[in-house]
Order: sequence, then C-alpha cells, then structure tokens
Amino acid sequence: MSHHHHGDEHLLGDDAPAVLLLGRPNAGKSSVYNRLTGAHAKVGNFPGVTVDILSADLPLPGSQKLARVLDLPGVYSLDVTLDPGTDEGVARSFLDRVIAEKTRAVLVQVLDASQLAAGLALTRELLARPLPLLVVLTQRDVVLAEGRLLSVEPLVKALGVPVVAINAHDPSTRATLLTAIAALVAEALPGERPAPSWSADELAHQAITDAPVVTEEALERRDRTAQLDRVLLHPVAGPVLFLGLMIGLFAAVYAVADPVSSVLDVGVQRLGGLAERLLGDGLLGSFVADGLLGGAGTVLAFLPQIVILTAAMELLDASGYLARGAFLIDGALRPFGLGGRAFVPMLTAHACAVPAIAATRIVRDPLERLTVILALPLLACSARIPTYGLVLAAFFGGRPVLQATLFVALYLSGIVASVVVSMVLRRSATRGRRLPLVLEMPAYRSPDPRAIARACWVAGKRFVRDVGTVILACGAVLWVLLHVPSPGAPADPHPTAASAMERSVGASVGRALEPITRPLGFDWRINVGLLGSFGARELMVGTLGVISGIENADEHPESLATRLRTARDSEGHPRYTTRTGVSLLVFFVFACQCMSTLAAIRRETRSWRWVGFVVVYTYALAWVAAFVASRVAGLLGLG
Amino acid sequence: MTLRELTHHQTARIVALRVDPVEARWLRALGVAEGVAVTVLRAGPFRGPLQVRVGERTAFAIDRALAGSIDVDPAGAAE
Repeated sequence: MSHHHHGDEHLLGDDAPAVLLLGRPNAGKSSVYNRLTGAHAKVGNFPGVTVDILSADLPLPGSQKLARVLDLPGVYSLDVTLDPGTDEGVARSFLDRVIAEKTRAVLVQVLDASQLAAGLALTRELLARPLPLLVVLTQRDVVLAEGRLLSVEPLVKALGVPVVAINAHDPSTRATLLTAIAALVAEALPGERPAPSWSADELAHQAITDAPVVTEEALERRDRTAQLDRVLLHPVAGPVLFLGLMIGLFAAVYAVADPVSSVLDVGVQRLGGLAERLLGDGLLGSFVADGLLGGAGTVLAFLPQIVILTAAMELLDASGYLARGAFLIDGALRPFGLGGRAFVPMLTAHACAVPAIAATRIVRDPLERLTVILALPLLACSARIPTYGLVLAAFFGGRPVLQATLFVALYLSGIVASVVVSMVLRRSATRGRRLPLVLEMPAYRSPDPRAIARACWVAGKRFVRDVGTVILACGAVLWVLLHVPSPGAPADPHPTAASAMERSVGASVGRALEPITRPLGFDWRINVGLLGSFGARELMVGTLGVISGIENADEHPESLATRLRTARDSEGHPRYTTRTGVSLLVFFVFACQCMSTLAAIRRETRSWRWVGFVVVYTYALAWVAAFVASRVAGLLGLG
Repeated sequence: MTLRELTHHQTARIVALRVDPVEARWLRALGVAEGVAVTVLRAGPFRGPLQVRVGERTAFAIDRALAGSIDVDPAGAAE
C-alpha cells in the first residue's frame, strides 16, 4: 500500500478508481480514512491536518485492481461555498473536476448518525451528482448508548443508495467498509436520480427511534454534553479552566520534553565522540562531529515538544474541547481582527511556527488565515529559548528574579507583537470582507488513542523532514564558512583555532555586515550567529560557542555566557555590554530567523510575495526595536 | 426580534436570515434555516459569540453580529 500527500495534480489520471470521502466536519471522516488505509495515514479534521487532500491506494476484495481513497476536507455544503479558499471551495472544485473529466470515481459520504438530519442535507447535494454514492453512518455506538435504535432500512429505501452503519472502534469495520466500497466501484454510473421526496428531519426520525426501554444511564448520556458545557463554558470557571489548561499544557511540554531531549542529546554526543575517534580530530572529524551531528542533536532536542504538543492538540480536538476553547477566546481576539479559531495555530507556534502555519487551515476565513500566517513568526517559538537563556545568563546572571521577569516579558512581547501586527494587517494588507463565525460545537467524545499516536508519528516525521533537514544543511554550511579561510586573508603567523576562524569566509561576511549592525552593538561574531540563525535560530548558541572556542555550548551554556561577559576587545574594553544583550534579545523577539518557516509560508500562501513581506517586515521591526531598546537601555544607565 | 436579543434558554423559530444571499444559502446548508428551532444556551466571555442549539441535536457558536441579522419568533416555537 502506498501513501501520497501532495496537491491534486497527480491524484487522478491513472486507471485506479477514485473513492472520494466526503462529510461534514467532525463527522468522523478522518477516522474512517484511517480505518481503511491503516498505518501512516493522518487522522483528525479540526487542527487543519487535512491540509492537502490525503490519498492512499488499497486493494479491494474480489478485485485485482487498487482503488485510490481520497480524503477531502470536511464540508457543510458543496452547492454553496463562501469562498474558493475555504475547505468547501477546495472540495467543491475537486469534485467538479472529477465529474468534468469523467474520472472513474465513487462518493462515500461519512455521516455522523447522532447528527443524522444535519448530515442528510449534504446527502441531498451528493445525490444530485452523477456518481455512485455510499452512505457510511458513524457513531452507531453513541446512538445506542443514548438509548436509541438505528435502522438503515428507511434510509436505503428513501435515498436509493447503499447505507452501512459502523463503529469506528470496531475491528471488523475495515472489512465491512471494503466490501461495501468494492460493490460500489462495480456499480454502473447512475443515471439522473429522481428529485428527493424525503424531508431530512422526518427521515432522521424514521431511522433513529427510542429504544423500547431507555435506561437511566442512557438518559444521562444524552445530557452529558450539556452538563459538561455547564462547567467548561461557565462564565467564570470556563475561562479560568481554559487558561489553566493552556498553562498546564505548556508546563507539560517543557517538563516532559526536557528530560527526553537530554537523553537524546547524550546519545548524539556519544556518536560525536565516536566520530572524532574514528575520523581523527582533523577537519573531517570536526565536520562530522560539530557540523553534522551537532545539527542533528539540535533537531532531536526540539522533537519531543512537537510530539507532545501534537498529542495534546489531537486529544483536545478529538474530545470536542478545542471548539470550546475557540468559543471562549473568540471575544478576546476579535478586537485584533482575529477569531477564536486562530488560537490553535497561535498556541502551536509557541513550540514551532512550521506546524503552526499548517494548522492555520482551521481558520476558515481566507483573509484572517493569511493574517495569522503572517503574524505567527513573532510568537516565541521554543527555538528562541536557548538564545534567551544564554543572553540572560551572560548579562543578567546572579539576579534570578530579574532573569525570570525578563523571560516572561520576552514571551509576552511575542504575543503582544503578533496581535498588534494582526490588527495593523487587518486594516491594511489583509483588509477585506470577513466571513461570519459559525463554529460547530460537537458533542464530547472519548478520543481514539491509536489515532492520536498516528498523528504524533506524522507530526514528528514532518518536523524532521521540514525543519530538521534545513537545520542540518545550515549547520553544515555554517561549519564550512567558519573553517574555510577567506581568499586574500594575510598568512597566519601563529595559527590557532580562534585565529583561523577570524580569517574565515564567515568572519569576512560578518564584518561586511558590521555597518548595518553596529548601531545595535553587534560585531562580526554576533553577525555570523545571526547569519546562521537566518537558516535556523537554533544554530545561534552553537555558532557563538564555536566562534568563542567553547565546545558543546548547547549543553553547557554557562561557560559561553561567562566568555561573552568577560570578552575584551584589543583595547581592553568589554566587547559586549548589557546593552548588547538587551538589543540582541529584542532582535530575536521580532526577526523571522527560520528558513523552514519561510518555506511553510510559501507552501500555504502559494506566493513568494508574502515570504518577502515577512522577511522584510520582521527584520525591519527587529532592527528598529533593537535600536530603540539599546538606546533606552543606555538612557537607563545600563553599561 | 433577532437571535441576538433572545433570552438565554428561550426557544424560538427562525423566521428570516437578513444576510447576503450566498451567506444565507450557506447558513441553510449548515442547518440554520427558516423554520428551525433555536435556543441561545450562553454567551462567550468578552462579548464573544453565542452558543446556540440549532434544531434538536446540533450546537454552533455564532458571532453576535451575525446573530443580530437572524430574525426569530419566540411565539413560533410553541407549536
């Protein structure tokens, strides 16, 4: 079985019949897709995981041929789309193309049986398409647990298409679905179907009836969502719980991720030591140990956070709480031109902007989504933290309260900056019509652990692919720049590691940038760090360590902090002052120093213009803010 | 009166959607249509959206501006 994940260019066109999964958001479509396609497929609809159209080829029973299952974005309607950029627009244009090109295709509507009447409105639209249709009713177990009976016969009779009821947690589900789909693929194209004579509400009442005996427990189950909402959406308790949950989530991300990162780090260091023993301590050994494995260690250090945050988000989504969070925060975000859904990518961005940009799919309004994408790089992603920690230790060491306060202030600056920038963008670059907020608040459900595990696996893999490769490549390039001597550099009378570096190509580039960065107090050494940071800001601490001749600065930042504080220039003056530190911190708050983020912006906006926009505005903002901060620090008497 | 003015936990029937025609069709596809029973369950904090039960089993968060454009009739819900 092979899996694909790309735009729709190559999804169709060979002779594998296409099986299009369609359904309302929260109908359980992605669970059905996962059930059908097994491992490696991604699950969940809410946090924008169906960014593109997922597809997988799978064999059908009784057939030699493979069928291509395509998971289309969740839609309420195909006939009415508010904007071509929304999920509905994407699904609609895809389906239109399938019909226009006469591709061999069948439709499978995934319909939440506990919301039958609502889902039948979409069935009506699908029946008007000239393709075979299968209706798959999910959540049969929920309907039964609520003391109701589900009968498919009235539906089969009224709709004139096959209907199967499934329970996504049941192992036999896959076989049931495959058999039904195989029969559907063998069907001839339907002619024009007669106009439906049924009413969705009446049909729903025929298909779902009260059980002869409704237990107390079943009645209690029916009321469960309303009862939970009374607590979780309480005017006072609701927001407090939400805030507590988010803080707890953050604490968990760091509490769990840190020890895991350390273990991974020790492993990478051992490998580095091994490489130096095997390859010698010459250039090759240094390249492999510092240039390559150092970068790999940096990548692995950030992986646990991504996985934990993904697990938390998927858990919140699958349980139905994510929509509640959006409901609670919507009012607070509205003055800034954002809606409640924007909180999901904004939260994710505190770990890493790259998955956060993919998660903006959750924001239905195309202009609002663009705004969020452009403002996300300002949020304090975890790759900034090592630099924050280093600079705070170097210039504010021995004052733990001040350090902690500044650390929190750096976080808050990111949040304030991103919402202010959103507000400005909504009045300028992304001004335009706003789509009305209508957000479904699904019933609370118990999440499927297998689906969450799968989502974590995919998120981790994507992070290593999208961010990891960039960090590795930039780390390697940076190593080369710092070890290759600059052409025309005078011969070195007493070559040492430090003097060789001062004569490197990297140092020349850093010096060339000094006129721009001198007002901020940055010399060529910091400039080289910033250059590496343009690739990935994770490389800042390691690069400064390499330049300062400190090995493993990532693991032992204390010695690097001391070195930065005590470094003197040729005249014996301190090379860096507290003002340098302040201006470097502020620069890091604003600058979008991350090629992976820029690549993600390019992918999601399909435009280099917005990539250029982000680079220019964040670096300009960073320079101006760092300059102002450095002046203010000077006025406050900081050295 | 509009959905926005409806007392919480009071049920009414939608009588008109005063929004542009495409938006109205989209709302109807969601289930927010003329003749459907609606109940405002609660309002979100900081002048946030309204949580509205639509029909028998579905709940939506609907922003206040939109709720102000949906006409409802509390008397119509009695039947």
